[in-house]
Amino acid sequence: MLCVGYIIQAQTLSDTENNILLNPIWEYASGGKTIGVPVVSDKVYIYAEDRQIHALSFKGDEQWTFFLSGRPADTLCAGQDGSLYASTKEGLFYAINKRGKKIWSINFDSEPSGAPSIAPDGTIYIGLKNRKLCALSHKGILRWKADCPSELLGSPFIDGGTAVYFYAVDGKIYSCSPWGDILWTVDTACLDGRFMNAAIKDHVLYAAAGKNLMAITSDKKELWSVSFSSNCSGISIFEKGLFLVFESGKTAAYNFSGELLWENDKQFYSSYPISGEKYLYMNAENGLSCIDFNGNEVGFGQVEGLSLTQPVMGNEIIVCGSEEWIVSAFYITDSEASLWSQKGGGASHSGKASKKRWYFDEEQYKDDINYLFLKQQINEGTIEDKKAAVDEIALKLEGGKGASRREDYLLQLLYEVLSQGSLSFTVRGRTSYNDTPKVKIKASDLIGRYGNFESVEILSAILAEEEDYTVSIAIIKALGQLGTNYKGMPMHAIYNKVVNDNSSTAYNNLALAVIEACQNIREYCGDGSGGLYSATLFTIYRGHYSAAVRKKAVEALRRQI
Amino acid sequence: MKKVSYIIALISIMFFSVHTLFADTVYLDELKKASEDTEIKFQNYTGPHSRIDSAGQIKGIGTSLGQNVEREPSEFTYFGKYRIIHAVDYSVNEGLDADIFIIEKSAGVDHIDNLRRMISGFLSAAYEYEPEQADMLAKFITVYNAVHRSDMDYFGATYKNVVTTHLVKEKAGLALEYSEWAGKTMIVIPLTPRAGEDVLADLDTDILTDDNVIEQLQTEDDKAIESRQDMVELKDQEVLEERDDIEQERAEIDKQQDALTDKKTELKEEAASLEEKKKSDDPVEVREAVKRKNEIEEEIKEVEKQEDELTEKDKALDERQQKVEEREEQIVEERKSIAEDQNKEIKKEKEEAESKTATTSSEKKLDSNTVPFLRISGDSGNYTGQLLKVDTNSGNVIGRSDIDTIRLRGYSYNKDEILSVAGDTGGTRIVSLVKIDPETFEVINSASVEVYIDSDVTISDNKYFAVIKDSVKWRIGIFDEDLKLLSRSQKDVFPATDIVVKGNYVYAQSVSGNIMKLDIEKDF
Repeated sequence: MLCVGYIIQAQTLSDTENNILLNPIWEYASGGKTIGVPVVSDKVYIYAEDRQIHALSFKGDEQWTFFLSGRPADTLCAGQDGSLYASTKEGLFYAINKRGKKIWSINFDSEPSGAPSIAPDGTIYIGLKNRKLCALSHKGILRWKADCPSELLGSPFIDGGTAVYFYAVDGKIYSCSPWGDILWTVDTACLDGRFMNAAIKDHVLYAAAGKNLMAITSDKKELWSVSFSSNCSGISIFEKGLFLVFESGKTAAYNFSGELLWENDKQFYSSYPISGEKYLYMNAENGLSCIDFNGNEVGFGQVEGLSLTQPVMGNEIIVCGSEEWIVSAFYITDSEASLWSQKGGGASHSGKASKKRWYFDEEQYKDDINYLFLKQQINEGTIEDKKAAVDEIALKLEGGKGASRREDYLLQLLYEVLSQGSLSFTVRGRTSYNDTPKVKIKASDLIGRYGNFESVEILSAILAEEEDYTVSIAIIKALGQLGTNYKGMPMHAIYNKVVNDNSSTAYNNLALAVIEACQNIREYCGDGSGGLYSATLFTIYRGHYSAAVRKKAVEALRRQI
Repeated sequence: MKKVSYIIALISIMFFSVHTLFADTVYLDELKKASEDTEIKFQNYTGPHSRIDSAGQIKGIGTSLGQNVEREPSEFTYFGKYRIIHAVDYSVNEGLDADIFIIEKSAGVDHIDNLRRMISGFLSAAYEYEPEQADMLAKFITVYNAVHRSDMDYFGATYKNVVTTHLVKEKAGLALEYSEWAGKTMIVIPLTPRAGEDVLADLDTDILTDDNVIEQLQTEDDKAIESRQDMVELKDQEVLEERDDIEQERAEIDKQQDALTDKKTELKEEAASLEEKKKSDDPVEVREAVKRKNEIEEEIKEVEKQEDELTEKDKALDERQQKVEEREEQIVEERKSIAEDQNKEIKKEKEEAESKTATTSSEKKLDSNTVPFLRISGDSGNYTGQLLKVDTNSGNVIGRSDIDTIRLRGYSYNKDEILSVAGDTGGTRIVSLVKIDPETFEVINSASVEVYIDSDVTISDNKYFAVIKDSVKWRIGIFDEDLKLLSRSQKDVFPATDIVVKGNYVYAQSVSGNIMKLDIEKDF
């Protein structure tokens, strides 16, 4: 049955009295029940039983659909650069850009255990039912595949820069390094995947498994634990602490020290909770309930004819699926979802980066002789030493397999190569410049092939300062290879470079590299970064470059129309 | 001059006649146009019944028929009123088997909802469908049979001979009009080859959802979205079950293949070791070795034969897998079609809501811009009426009642209710008093006692007086506001009598023609 709603005015759930008839601001039929949870980032995305991802504007207008060949699995999530990821039950995993075009796909030959989790640097972590945990780059390159002793359950949980956690069928929670090494396990005594949830804050894992809640640090120290009379079916972090929903339908809140704040058994709640800046939201009695941070229900609403399912929040709206194939959206007064409020690890359903980035922790490698050697070669060695070091890094990146890859420090060393200025040496009082940019060019190429979002930031910053045009070309090519227009940085950096170049020397090869990079980025992202794509190409077209170069620029411009 | 005047007069008469005739024709044409259905719409009996069976009882008819169905061909009947022919022939692969649900002449079913209940009960009992699934399938079965009514070319091309030999052109399928059901209906229920084998896919749901059926369902007010969704979800479950079966069978084949491979390897190894023995000096040993080698060769041939059989089975599974994937693609297309219709409905509702003003349902009064009009049809002596709502501004018919058996005499209306004698005979149908909502034209209440077809109806002191049947005689009956019979006269009356009520007395005509004065307190 369709909703027979009168859109008299757009009410906000949290501002009205209890038990209202909700009027959705829009409804959309998607050809089936929503698989998992919708995603709200730059648009609203729904993965439905009709095997399509539907992209809607915030007003509910269909923008595009993307068909995935295979039975849909609960795996839809968004990366921080707006790319979407989803998989089928047959193990075919897709990356899709904002325009609904496939960026890449990879076949795992195994059903995913749940939605992937996306790290701030763009790395995609996904568990598979064939007992493997995989890490993919944002470009679909398999970084590593780790074997797990037991079948994984649900989505991994990421602690930026420190660890990846996941539950398994054996009832344990596993802690894993970003490189796939299993660091430790904790037995939860819960074997039912429906009641295995977690949230992370300040490097503390709050694991709600079965009838227990534990607070565990990244080095396996148990801070406290609490037991309940009912299984915990959902956990969310909010301003005051942890909000929990139980199988019995009750809710409770605990502070970060494990002390009970309040309990509420007045309503029957039935979904994973999501928290905003002011309120918590979840399903109850086929409708939506809104609770303040003191546990008081401030609003409850139902939509006539619809049994609402798991909500998700973003851009001042809440989006819910329903049993009747219809997705509805409602206004809320919370402006942004809490980062850990979404099912499956936070950012993946809201497309927002967490505040902590994936960072390089040198402390981890203070005794690693390989790292220390390479670092010394790069920072203190001769040109030949630096070249040899970069060659060795290339071998490790190209040949490295599995969890021994250690890309974090390899990429860090490459950044250090690029960060160096013109290389020079002084002999007997005479300074000679022995600027061989080949080392930097090779470093750029490696970063372009194996880098991540952090690489995009660093390359964009370096490009702005780089004076050698051959190195600039290499960096521009690397940015094109990375593909993503993460935070708009690459296109801004490239555009500025072209503007400066055009006003001084107008190197044709640089312009050609820019044209190619722009096309690669546009193909990856699906759009032209707010017009910078066109602006960059127009600058070349109108600039002092050769006719052949200008012709390429206008051809690239025409292709986008 | 006279002649001219005559001609002028004649022309004038003709002009006005033509004009009036034309006007009448236009008006009638409009009425006719409005009454014509462009889509399949079942015409149900909506008049009174002498007995109303519960939904459970009606469903129970189907259940009792379904309980007897097994894999073998068979035939069952329910008290001579409904019959099932389980028409199956497993020796034939081309075409479909079917259950044929026959409505016999003595059957009284007169509403599509009740027919669907029976079919639903049958499906649940025969094939263990869940009640909701059975209800949904019953709807599709009735529409499917209405779409293909009397289409023997279609049935001949789709079903096996064992089915079509039972079908009669005039009865095959389902008529739209309830009066055409009893004795003239053979509802065909398509079966899959595995029907009755403890699988979900007993009925052929693809056949039941052919383009014609979906097209008809899309003409319903809500485009039958909910039913189509349920059907798609059932199909998904069928496909999933088939996938699981294929997977299991493939695993079994792999297991058997592994065993055969191992056995073959063992035999080959043994054969190789026998080559040595053949070189022996001992003739007995040599003879034994040769004999055993021959046996091994035979055994290997047998293993290879079994391997070939497994290969064939694997190929058959590949074909089934292919069909599953094709079916899944088809289901995806159906989902898209449903979503498209749903989104159109959402848009339509939104537009209506934006322009609509809230109305209250507590006040029921005739719209001042419409009048109810009783349109008469039938033969002289057996006229019946259907209510039409006519727009007084345009003259267009903007609504009509489902009930179309309203009798002329005894019909009255006011702003709160329309009261009339209505109904038909046959089965549990009777002619009786009915109250109709003047706004919606829905039957609010009906009496369960037979009223004379041309009875006068008088209202006095919130009671209704009409001529009712008492065994073989006719008497005056008194009804309350809910049309419950309160009392009846002790004396017979002439059935077409006028009924006059004054104070505590009722005046009526006796069978012999005299006027009787009946005391409400004493003579009832």
